[in-house]
Amino acid sequence: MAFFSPGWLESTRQWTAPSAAIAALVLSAAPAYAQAPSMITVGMTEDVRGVDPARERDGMSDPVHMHVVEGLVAYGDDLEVGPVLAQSYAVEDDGKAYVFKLRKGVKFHNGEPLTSADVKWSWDYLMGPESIWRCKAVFDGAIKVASVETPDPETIVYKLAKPNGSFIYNLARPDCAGTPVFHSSSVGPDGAWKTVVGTGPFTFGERRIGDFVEVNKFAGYVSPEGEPNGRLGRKEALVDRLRFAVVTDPSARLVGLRSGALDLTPITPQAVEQIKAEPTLDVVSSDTTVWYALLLNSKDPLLKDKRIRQAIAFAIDRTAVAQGVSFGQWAGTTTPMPRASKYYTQPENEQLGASLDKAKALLTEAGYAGQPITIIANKQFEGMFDQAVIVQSLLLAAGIQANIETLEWGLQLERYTNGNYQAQSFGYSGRFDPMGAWERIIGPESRKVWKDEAAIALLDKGMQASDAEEVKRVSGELYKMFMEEVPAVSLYHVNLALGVSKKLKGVHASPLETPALWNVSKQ
Amino acid sequence: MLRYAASRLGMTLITLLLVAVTVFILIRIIPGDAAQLMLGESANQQQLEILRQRWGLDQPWPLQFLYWIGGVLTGDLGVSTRTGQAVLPLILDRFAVSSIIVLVAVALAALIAIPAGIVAAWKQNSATDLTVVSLATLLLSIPSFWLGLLLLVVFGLKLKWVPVLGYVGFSDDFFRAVSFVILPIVTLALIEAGVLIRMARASAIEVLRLEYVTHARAKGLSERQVLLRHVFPNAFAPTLTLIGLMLGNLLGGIAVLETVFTLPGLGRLLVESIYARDYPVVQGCLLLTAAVFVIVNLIVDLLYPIFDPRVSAV
Repeated sequence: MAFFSPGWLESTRQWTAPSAAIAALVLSAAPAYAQAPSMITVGMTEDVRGVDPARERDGMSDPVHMHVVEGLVAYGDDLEVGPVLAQSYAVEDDGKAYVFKLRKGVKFHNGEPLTSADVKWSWDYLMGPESIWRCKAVFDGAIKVASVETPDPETIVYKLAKPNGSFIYNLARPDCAGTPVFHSSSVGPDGAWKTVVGTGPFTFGERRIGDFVEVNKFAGYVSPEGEPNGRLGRKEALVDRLRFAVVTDPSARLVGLRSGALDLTPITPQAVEQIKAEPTLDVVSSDTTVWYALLLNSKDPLLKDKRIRQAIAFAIDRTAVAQGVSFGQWAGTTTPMPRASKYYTQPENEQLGASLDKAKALLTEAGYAGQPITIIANKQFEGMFDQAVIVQSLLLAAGIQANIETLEWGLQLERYTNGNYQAQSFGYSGRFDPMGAWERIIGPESRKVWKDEAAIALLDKGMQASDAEEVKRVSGELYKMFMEEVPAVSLYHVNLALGVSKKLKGVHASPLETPALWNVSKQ
Repeated sequence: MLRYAASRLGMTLITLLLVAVTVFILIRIIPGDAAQLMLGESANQQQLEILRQRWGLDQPWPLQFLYWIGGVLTGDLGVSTRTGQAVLPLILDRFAVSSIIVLVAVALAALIAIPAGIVAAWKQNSATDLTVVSLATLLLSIPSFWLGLLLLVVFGLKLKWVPVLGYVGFSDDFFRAVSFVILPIVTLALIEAGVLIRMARASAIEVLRLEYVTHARAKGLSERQVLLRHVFPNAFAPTLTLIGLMLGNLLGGIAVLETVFTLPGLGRLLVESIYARDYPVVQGCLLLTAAVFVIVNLIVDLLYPIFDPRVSAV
């Protein structure tokens, strides 16, 4: 995902004063009543888009789909990829061929055994001419998959047009449902989608649009081996059912959590300390790869002067912004590369605070005469609005005039996609592949804020690299250019907090954002 | 009376046609691409075109309108681009949830507010009047979401009299359904009672000053008879108009309360559909809302002569 879509982290929006007051009331109220022991109820901030992982996905649907379908590979909490439906894989032909051996004994929800023909059928469905699968553009663009072959029922080979180290990471992308493998009976004879027949530890159950969606334990599930790690390792459904309930209001979610009607839900930073103090509730949290930034359009008549962009960067105290939007919970950053990634290295002499003297000197040198800068923001994702307000005041302290233009999210997204803005307060959804953090902003497309040819060439080099040290080196070079050119000002990575009932055992937050609910039991 | 009814009905049909055209154009002139919003920015041009073609958005507007209005006339409002559901059953289901809450709440509000308003007017400037007016002002001033959450915390969380989340249809389990809608109904009734009390009181004060009330008292009728026979019918007519407007407004959806109480109502559906640029659902919701608004007010207009015969004479 390269832009912020409604999802778990939508709940990072702040509350209005009245709802904060209500929350305080909620948190002081009495304990809850019990629920059916075999069901875990999760509070979702919005409804799922649908039950077809190939076409109907968004930040709310992915957490549901991941319990029902699986791919050949997936991410662990260390943001490294490992096998799931595959037993193992090997890179051959100088990085142009990926050979997967399938795990034995895997069954679909209809009882049929998994074969390489099913994997190929799913791939052809996802990449078909009528497909709108999110990663189709990736595998038919930046990474060109030339062919997919099935030499035997347990082997499948992906042949690339040219070597690309990011292939395996993109194959595991959660926002593409991990390139799901489903049985051909998922689709009717007319080619229309019927239902998901996957291989996951849960099967789709009842759905009431606008109310909830349920998944039920799949008794015939054959788990991968190994210690549980993110989406990898042993998976076991320890409850009969998971219910994902739509509770759009943050205060209502707190009431639900407090009453026991919900077992788990994302919570706002403001509520973290209060929830921790509750005897029946707990908080689990993790750094994520979701990144917030101030985008600066280098083609704008004023901002095309690099010195102005640098002055803006010097004027912004990242710590102040991060702490301001998160009630002191989060840390600022100067790089898009998330701390949760193993490719992250702490930048040398990283300056998170503002340097007003440097900012003012650069403005004088550039002949800045108080021309206002317009920052686009929206209130649907209030983090984007709140950080814009803080940035505005920080800029003013350095003598830079900034106005905030508040738009509806759909309109802001359109302006972002077309590159039609001066500055934008923006949030990017998580990317877990090594160069994904940079790929979000670098490229020739109109939506990318950094179109510099040298940066594009460097990104391309990093995307093709399969050696971790090489990726780190390229990322370091990009960081230096990023700080010099300032196509955007990096602000912070989001820390996701979940409010959890103490009745649940085995829940842990993950940089992959959405918690896996296999291996989770309820007392 | 018949001519009056026929003319109002004709105006209703013209209004609905104008609404259909306006709704169709308005939703399309809002910037933001439905296909882009669904697929995200990483989609390529080919995928965007597949979706636009699937939804008929690649056609010129006049053609899109003709397809849509043709469908509307045959009861087919299209298919949701977000969920793939047929729009008509979807919005009727959601409308049923909203309308039960609104109708019961407004009826409850009227039952509380009209007697309270008339008594306050009758006892004008007394302690009773002051109490009623203060209470009405307080109810008017409380935001509905705040009152809703407060009731949810007290009756759902602390006292555990009602469930705090979810919804069950009346046809599935009547008594459980009641437990889910009782708090939204009470919240809405209290808020709307504030408006109605003030209106009923103002109308009654005006009527109490008229000569026929003095005449009624002079001929020896008791105060109760004066209020019931003369003040109530005349003070009720303007309040009825307000109730009509209120019903029309609220039946269009009570998005805030539906959000607080996690109810799958029409208001929430409309808001979510606007964000997703789900044109068929937005068009369907707004057309239904407009139709309900117009029909409710038509009924009110037709009832008006019963309380005020001068209207039919005109």
